[in-house]
Amino acid sequence: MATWDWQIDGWTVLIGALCAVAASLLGNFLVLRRMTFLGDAISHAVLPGIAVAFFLSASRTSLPIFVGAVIAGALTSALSEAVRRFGRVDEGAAIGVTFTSLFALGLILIVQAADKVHLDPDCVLHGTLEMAWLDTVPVLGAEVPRTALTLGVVTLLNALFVTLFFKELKISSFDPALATTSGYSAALMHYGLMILVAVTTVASFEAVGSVLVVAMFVAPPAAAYLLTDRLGVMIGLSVLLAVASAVLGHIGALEVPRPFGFKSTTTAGMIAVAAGGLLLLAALFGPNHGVLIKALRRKANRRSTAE
Amino acid sequence: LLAGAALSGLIGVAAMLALIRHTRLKDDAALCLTLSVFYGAGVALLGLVQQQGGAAAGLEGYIVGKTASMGRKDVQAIAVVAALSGLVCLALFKEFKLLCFDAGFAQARGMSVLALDAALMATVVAVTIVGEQAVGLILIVALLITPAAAARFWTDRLGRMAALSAAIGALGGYLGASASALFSKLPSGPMIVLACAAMFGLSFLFGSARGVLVRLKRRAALDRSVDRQRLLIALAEATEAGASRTEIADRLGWSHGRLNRALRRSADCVDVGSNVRLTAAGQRQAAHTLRQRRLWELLLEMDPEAGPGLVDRGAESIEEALDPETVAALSERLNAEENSVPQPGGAV
Repeated sequence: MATWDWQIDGWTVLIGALCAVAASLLGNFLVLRRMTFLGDAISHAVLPGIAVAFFLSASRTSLPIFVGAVIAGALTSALSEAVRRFGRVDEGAAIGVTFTSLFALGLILIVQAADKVHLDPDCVLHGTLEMAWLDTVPVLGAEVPRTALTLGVVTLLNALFVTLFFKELKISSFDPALATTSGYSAALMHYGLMILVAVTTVASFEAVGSVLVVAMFVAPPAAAYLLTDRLGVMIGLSVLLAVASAVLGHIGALEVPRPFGFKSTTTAGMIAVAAGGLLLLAALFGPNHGVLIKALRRKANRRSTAE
Repeated sequence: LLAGAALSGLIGVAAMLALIRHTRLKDDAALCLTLSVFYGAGVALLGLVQQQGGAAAGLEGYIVGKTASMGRKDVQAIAVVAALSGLVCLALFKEFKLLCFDAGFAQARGMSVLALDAALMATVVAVTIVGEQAVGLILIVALLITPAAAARFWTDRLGRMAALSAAIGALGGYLGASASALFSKLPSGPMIVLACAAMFGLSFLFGSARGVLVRLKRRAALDRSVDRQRLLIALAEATEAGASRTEIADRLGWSHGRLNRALRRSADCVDVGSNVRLTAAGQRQAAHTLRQRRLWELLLEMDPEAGPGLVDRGAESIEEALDPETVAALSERLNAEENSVPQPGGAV
C-alpha cells in the first residue's frame, strides 16, 4: 500500500469529492430533463469564455473568470435555443452547431492573444488535481487549498439551489406545462440550472478539467436513476455515489497501476472510471431495473405462463 | 496507434448501444456517459504512458488539430477513409434512410437495425479518428453536424441533402484552411469550423426550403390569402349598397391600413367608391369562398377527431386538400342544408 499522506491525499480526495458532489447535484436534473448534451456543450463552451475573461481582465482572480464562464454558458444555451426555434432545427443539432462554433471562436481568440493567455492543455483535459493541495489560502488560521474553497462554496450553492427549489425543479423536470400553470417559471429553473452548470464547470476546471467534469455530471446521477424511482432518494444516492467515486478513484489511481509496474496515474481519470464502474454495477445489479433482475423476472414469467 | 483508437471507439459505441437497449437510460445520458467515462479511462492510461517516457501524444494537437503539420501519409489516410465511408454511405443509402426515418419498418422488412446502427457508428468512428488529426477532438463534432444541418435548409430530399452537405463541408474546409494559411495566428481547425458555421448561418437565413426568409414569405402569403377570404365574405354579408370602409374595418377588427392593402390586392373583386361593394366577379368569388368555408365546417362537424388534422387553410379549394369521396359526402350535406332551411352566412 502506498504511503498515505493525509495532507496530500486527504485534500485530494476532498477536492475530488466536492467536485463530484457539486456536479452530481445538478446532474440529477440534467439526466431527468434529458439535457445532458446541453450540459456537456456548456462545459466545453465555457472554455473560450474563461479565456476571454482572462484576456480582458488580465488577472488571475476568480470573479471575472466566473463571470466570463457564466456569460459563455448563457450565450450557448440561448443561441442554441434560438437556432432550434427559428430554424426548426433538431435540438441536438442546434446545440452541436452552437457550442462548436463558439468553441472555435474562443480558440481563435486564445491563439490571437497567445502572449497574454496560456492555455494549458493539461488543465483543459484532465485538470491538475494532484497539485491542487499546494495552492493554499489561509482560512480561519488553517491552510486550505484554494480549489477546495471554491468548490466548497459551489457545492453549497448547488445544494441550496436544489433544496430551496426542490418542488419547482421536480415539477418543471417532469411536467413543464404544469409548472407554468402552477405559477413557477420553468424557464427560470432552466436558466438557473444552466448558469450553475457553467459555474460548477469553471470551479472544477483546475480539479478535473472541463472534459471530465461531464462524467461527474452524468455518471453518479445515472447510476442513482437506475437504483430508485424517487427523486429525493435519487439525489441522495447520487451524492453518496459521487463521494464513493472520488475515494475509489484516488485509491485506484495510486494502487491500480502498481501491479503493472507503474507508479500511479491521474486521479481525475480514475474518478471518472470509478464512476463508470459504479454505474455498470448499478445497471447490472440494481434492485428494480438491473439487467440481472430483469432477466430473472423474465425467467420467472416464462415459467409461470408455461404452467 | 489508429487501430487502438478505432478499437476503443467501437467498444465505446457498443457500450452506448448496450446501455440504451438494456437499461432505462435515455440516449443522451448514455452518450455523455460513454463519452466521459471512456475519456477518463483514456486519460488514466495516458498518465501511465507518460511515465513510461512515451511520447506525450501531443495533447495540444488533440484539442486544436494540426492541419498545418500533417504529412503526405496523413492526407492519404484521410483520403482513403473518406472514400471508404463515402462508398459505405452510397451502398447502404436506402437502408440508412429507412433506419433514420422508420426503424420499426426496417426491422419488419428484415433488415437488422442493430447491424445498420453498428455500420453507421463504425463509419463515424473511422471518420472521427482521421478527422481529429485535422481539426481536433471537439471540432470534429462541428464537421459532423454543421454542414449537414446547413444543407437541411435547402432541400427536403435526403439524397440532395447528403450531396449538398458534402459540398458545404468541402467548401468550408477549403475556405478555412486557406484563410488560416493566408493570415497569421489563425489556427486552421477553428477556421474551418467557423467557415462551416458561416455557411450554416447563411443557409439558416436564405435556405430555399426552410430558411427563415423563405418561411416568412410563405407565412406572409398565407396571411394575405386568408385576409382576402375574410374580406370577400364580409363584403358578401353587407347590403347591396355596400358598406363604408370604417364599417368593414370594424367588422373585421382590422386597422384602416390593413383594409386598404387588402382592397388593393383584391381590386378585381371590389368596387371602391364612397362605399365598398363587390363586383359581379367578386360576388362569384365570395360565393365560392363561402361554400368552401361551409364545407370545411361540415368536415369538422362530421369528424371532430380527425377533422382538425386535415384542414388546410392554404389550399385554394377543398377538392385539392381532400379525397373525392369525402368532398362528395360533404357537398351532399351542404346541398341538403341549403335546400331545407335558409341559413345565414357563416361567421366572419
